[in-house]
Amino acid sequence: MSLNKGKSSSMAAQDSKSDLNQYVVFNIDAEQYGIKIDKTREIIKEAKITEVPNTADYVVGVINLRGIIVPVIELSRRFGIEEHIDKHLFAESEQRIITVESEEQLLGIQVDHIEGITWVEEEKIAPPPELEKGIREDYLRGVWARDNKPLLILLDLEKTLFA
Amino acid sequence: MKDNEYLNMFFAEAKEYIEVLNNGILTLENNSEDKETIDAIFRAAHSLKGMAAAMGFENLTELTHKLENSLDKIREGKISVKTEFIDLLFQALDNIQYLVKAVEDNGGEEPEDFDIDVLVAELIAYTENSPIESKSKAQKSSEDLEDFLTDSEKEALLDKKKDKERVYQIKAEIVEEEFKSVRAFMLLKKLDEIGQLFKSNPTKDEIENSELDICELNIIALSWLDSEEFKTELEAQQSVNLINLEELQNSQLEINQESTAKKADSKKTGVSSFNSSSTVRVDISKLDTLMNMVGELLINKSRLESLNIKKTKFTEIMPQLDRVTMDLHHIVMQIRMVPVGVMFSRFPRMMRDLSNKMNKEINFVMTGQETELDRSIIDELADPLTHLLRNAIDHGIEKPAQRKANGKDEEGQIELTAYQKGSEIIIEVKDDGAGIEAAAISKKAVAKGIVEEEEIQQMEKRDILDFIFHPGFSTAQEITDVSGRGVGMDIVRSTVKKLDGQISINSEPGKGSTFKITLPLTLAISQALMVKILGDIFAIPLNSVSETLTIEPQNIKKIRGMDVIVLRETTIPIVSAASIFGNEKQKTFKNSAKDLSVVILKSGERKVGLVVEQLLNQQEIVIKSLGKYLQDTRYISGATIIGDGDVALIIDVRDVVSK
Repeated sequence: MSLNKGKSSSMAAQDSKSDLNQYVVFNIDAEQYGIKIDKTREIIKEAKITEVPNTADYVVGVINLRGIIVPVIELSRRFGIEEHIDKHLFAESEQRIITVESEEQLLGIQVDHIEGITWVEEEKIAPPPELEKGIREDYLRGVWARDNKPLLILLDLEKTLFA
Repeated sequence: MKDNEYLNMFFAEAKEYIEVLNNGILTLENNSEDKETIDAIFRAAHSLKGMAAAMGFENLTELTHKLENSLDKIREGKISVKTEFIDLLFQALDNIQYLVKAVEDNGGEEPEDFDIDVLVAELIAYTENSPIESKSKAQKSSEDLEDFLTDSEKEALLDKKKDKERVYQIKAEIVEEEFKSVRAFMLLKKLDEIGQLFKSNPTKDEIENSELDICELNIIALSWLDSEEFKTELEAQQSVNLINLEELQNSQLEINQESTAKKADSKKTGVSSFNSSSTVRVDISKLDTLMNMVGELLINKSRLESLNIKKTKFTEIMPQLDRVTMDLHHIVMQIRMVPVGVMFSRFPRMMRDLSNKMNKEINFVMTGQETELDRSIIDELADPLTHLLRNAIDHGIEKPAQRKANGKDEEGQIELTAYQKGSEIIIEVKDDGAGIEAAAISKKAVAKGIVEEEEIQQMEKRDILDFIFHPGFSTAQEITDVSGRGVGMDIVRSTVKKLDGQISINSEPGKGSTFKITLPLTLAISQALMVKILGDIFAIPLNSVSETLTIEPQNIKKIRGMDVIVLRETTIPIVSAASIFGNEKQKTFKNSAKDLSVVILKSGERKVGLVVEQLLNQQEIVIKSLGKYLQDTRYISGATIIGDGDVALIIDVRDVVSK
C-alpha cells in the first residue's frame, strides 16, 4: 500500500474502486483453488521427494530445491479429504509443486494441474458457502463464482498451512 | 531517518562500549583502585559520547557526557568509589542502554518522552559537591611510589634513612623547547652535588644517550640537607621547573603487602584495554551466506568424487580440489568462532543485581571465557544460560542464615565454566546450594501424571532428575520474579536440543547442583555415518556413534520385555530402525535369518543399539534444517544433501536414545 504513496491521489481513488489481485489457479481433483500470487515463488515440474517418517499424513516429504530443504504438503489431505475422488482426471505428468513462502518458511504444495493466473476483484469474493467437503472454514478467504467455469476456491495460505 | 549503515555501526559499537562500561564498573566496585579499569571505562564512555554526538542523539550525548565527567573525577582521584556511587553509575548506564535500544527500535530517532534530567542532576550533584574524600597528598604520592620504586629499592632507602640521610621525591618539568636533555642532565648533576641521586625516570643514561624530548622527570634523591635547604638549592637550578618536592617518611617506604596483592589481583579481574588489532567488522548474515556456499561447494565436490572417473587428469585434480575445499571450510568455521566470553560478560552484572535483590551472598566465578563456539550457537545460548543462572540463585543457593545453619560458608558459590572436550564444547553451571532431592522430583512427577508410580520405582536417579526438563513439570505457583518469566526448564532443553546439544543434571542434596550443556563445536558441517533404513539413506552424526557391529540374532536377549545385547559386560537395549522410521512393528530379532547390522548410539551416558538395514560409508555432511514446519519431527534432527542430489535425513540420536 505504501508503495503507491508517492502517486497522485486520483490513482488512489481508482485503486479502492477495483481492488484487483492476481491469483494462481490450480486443480486438486475437479476442484479449482486460487492462492495470491505474491505468496508464490516458483513452480517445479520434477523433483525427487524424500519421505520423512513420523510427520503428519499431509506432509508428502521434502525436496532439495537448489540446496534448500523444502517440505512438500498435499493439500487434499490437509483439508481432510481422504481419497482423491477422480484420481485420473489429470495425467501424472501434469503434477506440479508450487513453492510458497509463508512465515519465513519455504513450503511446497503438490497440485494435480496448474490452470494459470487470473485477476480477482476482491469485492466479488463471496463468503464461503456451507462447507466445501469439510474444508475448515478458516482456511478459506472465500469463493469466486465465475461465468462458465467452476467455482474458484480462494485459500488463506497462512491459515491453511499453519493453523 | 539517519543513514542506515552508520546507524548499524553505531549500534554495534555502542553495545560494545556499554559492555565494557558494565564490566568495568563491576570491577571497580570490587577494586576501586584499579587504574587500568578506570582508564578503560573512561575511554569507553568518551568514545560513546563522541559517537552519540556525531549521530545527533542529544539525550544520549548529555548522559554519556555526565558519565564521562564522573569517571574522569574518579580517574583524577577526586571522588572515592562508594557503593552508592557505583549504583548511580549503573543507573546511568542502564538509561544509556535503554536509550540506545529505544533508538534502535525507533528507527534511528531518540524517544521524545525520555527524561534524563533527574539522573543528570544526581550525577552532577555527586560529582561536584558530594562526599569527596580527596586523598591526602601523602597517600596519593605513595601510590605513585608503588609504581616507581621496587620493594628492594624501598628497603635500600629505609637503610639510608637509618643513617640520617633524608629521602626526597622530586617531580620536575622542562618547559623550554631547546636543549631539553641538557637541562635534565644538569638537574641530575646538581643533585649529585647536594646529595646523591638514587633513581630517576628517565635515567641518567637515557638522558645522555637519547634524542628524545624529555618533559617530565621523576626522581628519588638522598641528601643531608633539610627540605628547606634542599628546595632552595634546587630552585637555584634554572634549567627546570620544580613541580613537587616531598620528603619521604618511613611509612611511605614500608612495603605495602596489601597493595602489592591488590595490584596482582587487578591484573586478573581488570577489563582488558582495547587492543586495536587489524580486524574487519562483518555482518553475520554475510558469514552465513559464505558458510552456505562452502557447504554447496562441499556437496558438489563429493558429487564429483562419486563420479569416479578413471582419468589421470581427474585423479590429479580431485585431491587438490579436496584440499582447497577443506581449507576453505576450515577458515570459514574459524571466522565464525567467537569466544563465549562475549556472551558470558553480561552475567556478572545480572548476578550482582539478582543476589542483591534476593538478599543472598554470592561469589560468581566464570572460567573458560576464551573457549570458542560458533557464533550462531552463542547467540542462542544466552537465554538458556540466563535461566540456569537465575535458577541457581533463586532455587539453588540458600539464604545466608540457612547456609550458616547447615555449616556452609554464608557466601554461596556459583560457577559458570566453559571448556572444550574433543569435538564438543561443555558449559557448566554449578552451584553449592541446596541441591535437588530425587524423591521430591519423583513425587511431583507422579502427581503431575508425567509418570506412573510403578515406573518410577525402577528408574535410576539420573532419569528421575531428568523430569525437571519435562514440559508440564514446572508449575505456576513456583514462578517468582526472578526465575519465573514463563521460560521453563523444558524451553532450556529444547533450545539446547535445537543446537544439536544435550543437557544433563547432577545434584547432591545439600551439596549443590551441576547443569552440564554439551554442544558440538560447529553446527553446520560434520562427519556422519551413512546407513540404509527401509531402502532410504539416513545420516547419523559420527560424534554420537560409539561403534558399529554385526551381531547374530541369537545373541539378543530379552530383559523386561526389552531386546538387549551384552557388550563388554554392559547391557545395551536395541531398537529396530525400521520400526521407528517406518510403520513396521518391532520385529522379533530372534527370527531374523541373517546377521544384524547394529550402530551403537551414545547420548550422554546412555547407549542404544540401532539395527539398520545396511551400513554404508562415512562422509562429511552439511547439516540443513528441516525448517520450522518440520522441526519437531520425532527422531529426525535435520537433513543433508548427498552425492546424487538426493535428500538424506539426519537421525536425532538423543531422541532415539531417550526413547
